[in-house]
Amino acid sequence: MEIGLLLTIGKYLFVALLYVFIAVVFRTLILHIATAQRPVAQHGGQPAQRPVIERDSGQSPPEPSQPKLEAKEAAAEPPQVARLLVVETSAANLSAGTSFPLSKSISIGRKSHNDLSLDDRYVSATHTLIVQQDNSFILRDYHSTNGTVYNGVRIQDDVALSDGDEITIGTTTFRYQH
Amino acid sequence: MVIVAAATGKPLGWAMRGLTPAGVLLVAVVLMDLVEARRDRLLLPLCGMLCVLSIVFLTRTDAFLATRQLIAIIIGIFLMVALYFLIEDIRSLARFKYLAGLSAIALLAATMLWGREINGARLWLSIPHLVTFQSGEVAKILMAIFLAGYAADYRQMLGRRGRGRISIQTPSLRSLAPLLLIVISCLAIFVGQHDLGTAILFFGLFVTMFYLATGQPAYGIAAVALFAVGLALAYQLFPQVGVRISSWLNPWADPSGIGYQPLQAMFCLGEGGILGAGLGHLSVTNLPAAAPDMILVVIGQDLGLVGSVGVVIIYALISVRSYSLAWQATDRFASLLAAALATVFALQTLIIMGGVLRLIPLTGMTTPFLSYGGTSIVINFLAVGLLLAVSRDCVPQPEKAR
Amino acid sequence: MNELSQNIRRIALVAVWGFLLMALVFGYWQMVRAPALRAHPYNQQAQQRANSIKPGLIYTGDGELVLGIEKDNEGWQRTYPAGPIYCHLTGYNENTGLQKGLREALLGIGAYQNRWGAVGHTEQGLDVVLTIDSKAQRRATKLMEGRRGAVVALDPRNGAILAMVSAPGYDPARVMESQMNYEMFTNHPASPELNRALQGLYPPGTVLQIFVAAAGLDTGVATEQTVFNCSGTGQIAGITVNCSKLGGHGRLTLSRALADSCNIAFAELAQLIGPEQFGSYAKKFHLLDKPDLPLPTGQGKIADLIGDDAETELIEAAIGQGATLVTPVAMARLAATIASGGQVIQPYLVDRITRQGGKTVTDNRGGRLRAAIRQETAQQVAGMMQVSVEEGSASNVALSVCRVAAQTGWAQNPEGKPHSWALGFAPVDAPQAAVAVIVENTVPGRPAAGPIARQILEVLVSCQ
Repeated sequence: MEIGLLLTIGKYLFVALLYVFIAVVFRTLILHIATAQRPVAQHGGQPAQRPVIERDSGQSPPEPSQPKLEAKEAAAEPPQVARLLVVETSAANLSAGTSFPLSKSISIGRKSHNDLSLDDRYVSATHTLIVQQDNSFILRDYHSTNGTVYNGVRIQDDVALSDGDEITIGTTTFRYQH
Repeated sequence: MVIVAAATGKPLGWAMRGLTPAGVLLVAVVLMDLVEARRDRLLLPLCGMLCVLSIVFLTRTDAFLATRQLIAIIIGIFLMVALYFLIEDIRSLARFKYLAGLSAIALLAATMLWGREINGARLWLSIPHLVTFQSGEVAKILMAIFLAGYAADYRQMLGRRGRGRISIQTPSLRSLAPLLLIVISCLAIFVGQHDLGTAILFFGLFVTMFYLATGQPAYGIAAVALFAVGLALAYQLFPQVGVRISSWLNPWADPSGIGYQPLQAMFCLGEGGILGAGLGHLSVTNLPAAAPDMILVVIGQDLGLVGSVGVVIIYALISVRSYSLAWQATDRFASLLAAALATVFALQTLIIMGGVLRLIPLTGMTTPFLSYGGTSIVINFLAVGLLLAVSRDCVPQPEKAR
Repeated sequence: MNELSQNIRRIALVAVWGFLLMALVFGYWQMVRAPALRAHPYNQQAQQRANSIKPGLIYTGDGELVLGIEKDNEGWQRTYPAGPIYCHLTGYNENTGLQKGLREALLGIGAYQNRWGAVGHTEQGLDVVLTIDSKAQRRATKLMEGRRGAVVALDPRNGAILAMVSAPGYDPARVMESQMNYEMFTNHPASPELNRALQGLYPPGTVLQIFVAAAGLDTGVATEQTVFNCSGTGQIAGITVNCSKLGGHGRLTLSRALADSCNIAFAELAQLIGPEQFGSYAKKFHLLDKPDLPLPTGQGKIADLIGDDAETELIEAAIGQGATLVTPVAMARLAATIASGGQVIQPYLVDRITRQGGKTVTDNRGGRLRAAIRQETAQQVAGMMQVSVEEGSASNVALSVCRVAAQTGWAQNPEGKPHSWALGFAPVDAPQAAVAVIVENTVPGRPAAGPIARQILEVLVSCQ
């Protein structure tokens, strides 16, 4: 009788632990998937645009698939000033179509001390630096967790930016215009 | 006090043994974190949980097998960590796609020719004096690598819906030929190995990858129909493959012969009921091949419906997590590789569960991470290693989720 | 890549549906089918466990132990304290009689086990209390001694089976004592193993006239006063019908025809009713149904009332001969239907199932099915049956203390001497018991079933 009772308690304990474990994992998984899906929701159901890294193919980088509205806006800007145009983002404090003038070296990251702060869980505290050198700008990853992606490729070393280049930081994609 | 200790002794001992894989896995995780913590954090705990269940319920079924399983798990974890560090960048794996594909086909062909037949299915390949392993398990990972690499590169050739002009085409020979090849080769597996499970697994993997590469479900549906017709024909033509099928269709016809195993499985599930008969309370000596084929049934008997549904949920979570890595990956090859591995995992589990629950004929495949089988354990850990590498190299990780 | 992500999500969704399906199927086997699987005869574990369960007992409604247990070194063994009295109820081992039919209840498994399935399986079976009245059962067994046949007594108010005897009986304790006993038992020419009360198929003969009269009155093709002409023998629808009385009854009313068991009058009445209505009343009376009992039961037969020979077959059916075969329990049910004012009752045998110690698990109250005929019709037929007792052929069923309605008759047996039937119920105003008795192969002219019916009613009925 005593053995039976202990076995019963053991069984229920076992099952209870199993379900607690499942609940914890489930919660985390939902969180993961929800954050990854956020861009879809913000673009009114359009599929998320994520950069494609073409490996071993020697093909051209993905063609710009910029919405028309933004193209017009961009055309209205004075062309001689270097700018960062937000092509796509799921950062809470940013929206697509916004652009930032570049006049000096800036830092980009999640924390507010950065020149450009992105409220995005996929962005490191200080993620990327854009450094002014003479008349051009250089892209430099600041030991970020998820890396800085330049035209679809995660950069290891500094890269000089030229007009039309795409920079992806976390869920945000910028276009460099000069 | 002594009585209590003696009474709890057995289950407590099982629990202690069950925690061993969890401990080994924890060491592995700490080791991996020392180098870099940036990767998926969910797959290993989930797989670890399955290993714990595996050891507890194997000890309860056959303590000797449990010890061997424990060794396999430790080897598997070791190899997984090694593979994880060996792969500098998962994207570079695409280079080995043809090597992987050819090895997979060679393995399957060798099994058909020289394989050992156990319980009417030819699944085992033996290298004399060295090792005996389930070749299908190894081949499935190689095939996943090949298909991912192939689909990532040759999407045009597979008749991918391009932009604009060549969008919706009538099915071209070029896109139908690979599908026909798939159907025929899977039927060959079925007939050659007498195993429906492996055939469905590879077929499902092929069709899924074809769909992911082309985005056209119509071909896949056509292939499924063709495959079903082929199976029916094979069933008619080759009487030796019919044994498992007739034991599936009508186990009551021969309850002490071919119908014995499926019926005993049903009875054990019935004994479990909703809340289970209790850990190790009832014997499972009536249940043939409990450790390799029927471990789910043992869990169902001991923990009841709550336990078996819990296990189903864990499998579903692993599958969903693997697929979510696939759709989050920023690289086409990595994405397709993760999807292929996820499909292999989910499909194999579903085939086994379907067999145990008499939805489809019972097959000789193993339940990933749960049933007894060294090859299966090692290969599944290697697959997780690949998925972890995908998550490390190509999937953005939330900073705060650590 | 967008498209790829979307497609992967679709595949993932398919996988999730697959796992959901698996969870549901686990639920099907472990929840819905679990009780049946746990009690399944092929289930060896359950079988082994069943051997260690202390099985339940069976009692009659008034508390006599019918099926007992005792423990020996091989485990629990069945005992039969009342010897042959209840042999066809208890059976002689776990694969016969109520030991088979009520196996799950007696072992407390299957439908009687909780479906939550927890540690500590059933240790004790459940006790079963039957509707049987031990006094009536004993009296019937004694009366049938040395004869072949069956007795079924029902309570017409609810369908409870008060007595059920098949003769010859046997001593269940001795059947399995030795191989020789068992072989003698199974090869005995009188087939003692056969439960004639439920499985015996007999031509109903003239007692079926009750049914024909009820159908005739209910359809309105005849009244009690409708006059028929009996010349002793006649050609009706191409077959020769003989009346029991040589030379015939002459002109007689329907009421008189029943009292005198006049075949010719009822053959003519059946013609008036017609095959279609005849068949539909047979259905309404559940004349051929197998009652839902935990014992093997026989399926009655009636002549083909649809084909080309419908007319001929109808006449044969009306006089209770030819292809028409009924079980004694169906005849008892016919008597009970008339007794209860036309309501068809569902016979039942198990009154309640209780835990060892007394708490009731399931309680059976019996059930009435739809009415077969109007109440006035039933009362008219009951009146005619009463005439039959007071002034007709069934006078040997009469009780001194109560008014009885009954019908006795003969059924021709192509294989030997005719069978003797008696149906009846009492008291007429507020029936407490309905009975059907058949005695096989009796000497014509010497009533056999009637007096037995009377003595059983005597035990079951109390009149002030």
